[in-house]
Amino acid sequence: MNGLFEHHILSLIVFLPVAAAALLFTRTSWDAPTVRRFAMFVALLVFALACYATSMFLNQSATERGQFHLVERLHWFGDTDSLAPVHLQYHVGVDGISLPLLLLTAFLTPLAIWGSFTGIQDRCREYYSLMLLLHGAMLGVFCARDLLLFYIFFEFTLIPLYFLIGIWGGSQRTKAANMFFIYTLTGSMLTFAGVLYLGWKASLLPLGADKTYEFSFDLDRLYELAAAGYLSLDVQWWLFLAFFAGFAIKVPLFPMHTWLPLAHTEAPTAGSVMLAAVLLKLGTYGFLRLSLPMLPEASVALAPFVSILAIIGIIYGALAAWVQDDVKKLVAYSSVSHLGFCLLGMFSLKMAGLQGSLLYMVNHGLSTGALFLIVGMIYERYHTREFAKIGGLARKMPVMTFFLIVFTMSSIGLPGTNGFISEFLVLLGTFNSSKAEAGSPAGPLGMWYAIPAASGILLGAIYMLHMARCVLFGPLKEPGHGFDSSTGLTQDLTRREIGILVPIAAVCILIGVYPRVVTDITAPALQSQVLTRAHHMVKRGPAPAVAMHDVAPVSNRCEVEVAR
Amino acid sequence: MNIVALHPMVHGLLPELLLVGGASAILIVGVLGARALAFPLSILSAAGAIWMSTRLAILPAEATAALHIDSLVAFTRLCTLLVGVLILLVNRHVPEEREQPEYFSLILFSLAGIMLVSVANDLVLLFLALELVSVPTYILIGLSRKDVRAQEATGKYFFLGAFAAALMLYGFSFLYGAAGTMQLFPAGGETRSLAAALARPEILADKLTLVGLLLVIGGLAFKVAAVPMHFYVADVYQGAASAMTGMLGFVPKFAGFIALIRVFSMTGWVLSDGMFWLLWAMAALTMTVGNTLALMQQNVKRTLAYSSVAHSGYMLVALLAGPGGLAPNAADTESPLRNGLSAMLFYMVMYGVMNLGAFAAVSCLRKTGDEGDDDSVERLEDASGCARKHPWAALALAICLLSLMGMPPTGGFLGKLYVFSSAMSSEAGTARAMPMLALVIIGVLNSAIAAAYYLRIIAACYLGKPADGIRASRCRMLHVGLAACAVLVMALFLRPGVLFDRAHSAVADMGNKPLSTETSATAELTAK
Repeated sequence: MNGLFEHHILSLIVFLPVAAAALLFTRTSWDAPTVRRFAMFVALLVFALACYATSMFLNQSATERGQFHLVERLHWFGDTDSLAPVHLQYHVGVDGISLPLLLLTAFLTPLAIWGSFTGIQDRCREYYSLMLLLHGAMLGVFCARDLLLFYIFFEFTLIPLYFLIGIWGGSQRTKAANMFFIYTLTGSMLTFAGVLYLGWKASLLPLGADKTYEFSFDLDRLYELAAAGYLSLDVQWWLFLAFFAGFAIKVPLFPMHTWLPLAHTEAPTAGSVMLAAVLLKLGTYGFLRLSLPMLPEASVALAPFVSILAIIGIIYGALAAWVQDDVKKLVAYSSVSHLGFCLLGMFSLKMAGLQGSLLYMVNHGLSTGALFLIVGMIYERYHTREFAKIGGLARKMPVMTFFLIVFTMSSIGLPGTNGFISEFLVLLGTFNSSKAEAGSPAGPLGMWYAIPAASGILLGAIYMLHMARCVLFGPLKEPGHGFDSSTGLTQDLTRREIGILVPIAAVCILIGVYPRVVTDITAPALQSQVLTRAHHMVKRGPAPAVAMHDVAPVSNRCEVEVAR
Repeated sequence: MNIVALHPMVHGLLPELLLVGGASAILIVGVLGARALAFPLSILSAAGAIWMSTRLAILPAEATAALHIDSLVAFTRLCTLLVGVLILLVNRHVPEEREQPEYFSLILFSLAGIMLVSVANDLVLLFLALELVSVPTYILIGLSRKDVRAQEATGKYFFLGAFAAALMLYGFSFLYGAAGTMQLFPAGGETRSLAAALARPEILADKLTLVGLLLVIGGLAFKVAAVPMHFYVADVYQGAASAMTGMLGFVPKFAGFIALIRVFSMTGWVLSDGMFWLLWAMAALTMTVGNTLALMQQNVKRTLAYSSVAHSGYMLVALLAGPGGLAPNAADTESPLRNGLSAMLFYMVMYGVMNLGAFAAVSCLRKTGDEGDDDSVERLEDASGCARKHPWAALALAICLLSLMGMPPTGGFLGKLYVFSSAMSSEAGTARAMPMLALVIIGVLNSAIAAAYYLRIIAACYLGKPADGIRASRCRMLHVGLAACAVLVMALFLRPGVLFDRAHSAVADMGNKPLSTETSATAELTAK
């Protein structure tokens, strides 16, 4: 049993939900409560496994955490059993970059499933099997250590989410689902061309110990390929643009964001939560995992372009959020703004910026996921989300008010909540990007990027507080029909709903007070997987003498900031 | 049975003979009145031919001049027959009881035609084999449905098919004039052959040879439904019964592409610039026109018909990539991912299965309770909301459509992967690398366009309001065939090696080295 866990834990995490989804789909005789309990049980089991995997990961010493662990490798096709010197493989593992996102996914999915208990009354069986399918695919993206496998999971997430939006969404669900699917697919098809190109490039080189020529998509091998300087700046440009097409639409970066508000607004609550908390991160994760370490020269060259789009996104998203008349649309546009910060920090190519960016992904997942959950809870009661029809709910729903305020503050980035640390680190990284320090050469950004981006924080406070004011305070406004108790809801939050929100709030505060729970895991990996590779290749010289630069100051500095 | 003692001609053609014999027996049985035996007998003949083709060792090439039996033949036989069994299963409910013997025997004749196309080493035999593929399909379309549109489709398909056949035959006459022989490849002690003649640059570059090649390609473009010979597709596919349309997507296409491989093998895969750009434009247009027209359709069958044009475009990309092997780096020739031909074969078989599955699902879902295939769903509204009442049929349809779209985890995804990676790598390092890359980009963008219309069908099934009175066919065999297609599409994603290795070894001996001189060409081909 121990051996099974040791060697196959990631596969178990990825494929348990998939198998459960298949089982659930065939159980036509199960009634709705059984289906719900089963889905919840599976999701919790996956979370427990993910926690176990984390504990195994944390057994490594700090330096080893920069590497991949829990690796599992299977030949999918090619190699020994085939005539073909082609190497398609199933290769999974986690490092400090993917582990927090894996945990985030495993943590939020059971809560999102729990949150759908009353909202989803129709076609329960299909709904929960699709949720579990989506769950497995998302976990797979973060575990993949092979570019093709990454792409397969990345693409596959579209299918369950398409149905989730299209079947259980709001009034414009079909349009939203189609737009979401086709928009993201168009981008990722171009990424597909880039993936193939890299795989082919890898086949031209006798890499690895066995010195064979293989079509290979193994990330280690592709990193080797890049480190050996086989991707010229020209090629890197094209590859960067190919990856950019897929990832920027997913993020979404400013002019490509038009699918997002519609998909977010029309999706059922759990769909919005998964979309905001995890699926948008697939884009930023792709940039972090593939573009930066593999195509560093192009990343540096195109960083101003990406960053300007990110900054436009930050400001435009915030302004657009401010003028929405629908709470859910407001939260949706806030994602556009927040994800801009993520990219900005990443492209600063500074430790602080990268740390902030990765932390931002986790934090945005927590706070925006929770906000969507609360909006869903309000909607279930009043069947409306319009500012014109609801207001002053603090009088009737004090518990809901408490949580909404907590997550609003976390979203704004109030010191003491998780949002603060990540915003601060991103801006710090961006600001200092142009400075060269010992062991950390100058990055492509600088002060003039940080200053306009910082205005996003101010705007963020404006629109979030505007939302809180309209929904919670002022004169009480309710739609004429009052609240809907047909599914057993009470006026204020039920125990189940409180149970959903408490863990998220606790984690938000925990990260806010002690961010090192995340940064200690991420720092070594960011250094060895991203920064070292990027700097090494930009300089086109031998590997820097100090491979592991001390990451402690960054963490210390942010603690000092928290203390203030 | 001591098959070695048989005449080499008979020996070489045993699987085909068995199939044709089975088909004839079914006709006789039908006349004698035992019509119920027609279907089991047809399955039995196909199974027997499968057994025979796996048992049959490849003949030495010298054995006979008219047959060219190499590893491509083995692949073609096996895949034709395996998909053929699926076609038979899916078509079980289509013909009326009294027409069953003719219907199933014609399917078998058509399958035997494909196998003969791969075997033929003679222009006349090649032409006859191609017509043996097509002529039964003309009749089958008319038989499959009582609707007047089926008669119209038969007429259209027949006249345009005859026109294309004439084009091709005219091209053959030019090729005969250029080479002075009908034989495609040297075999059976005969040294004069088209391949040897075309290996001489002055003959290959001759205007009359080019005219001949162009006419042949034009005629074959009709079989594979490539632009500009694609006009008939929508009307014919719509007119025929859905299950028959599933067959039309595979049978003439497969035969056409095998013939194209043979034609280009004769030229030693030396494409002049003009020929390269012609094929390039044909591939790009076929993909784009097919997808654009499919996007404009409201009828499920017409959508799938035009999408079938687009899929021919993807296969043309792989054909243009050729067998690889001309690349500067010797080690690259080993990698099968750069072998466009095996990519094409892989994609062809995959397409045959997923397309058949999609049409089988359409055939399974019907507007009223009638058996037969006269009123399967056609418009998107007809299929609206069918997932609620018939979750399994809808699931199979969704799997096949997602595979046609090229989404993981389905075989269609690997097909696209294979086709595009071969296109990307085959001409690397030459001046044609950039055009090929452009073709790949056109291809992936086309896949995104295709997603829009496939998604529309899925959306109708899953997201639409349930339509009144939609039923599923009760034919057990159709269910088995449909399930087999859907399962195969998924299984080939998990274990692609089964098909991949066969496709690779089928064409592994083609064009590994440029056949620049007559001697090397002859030596190469006789060695195989």
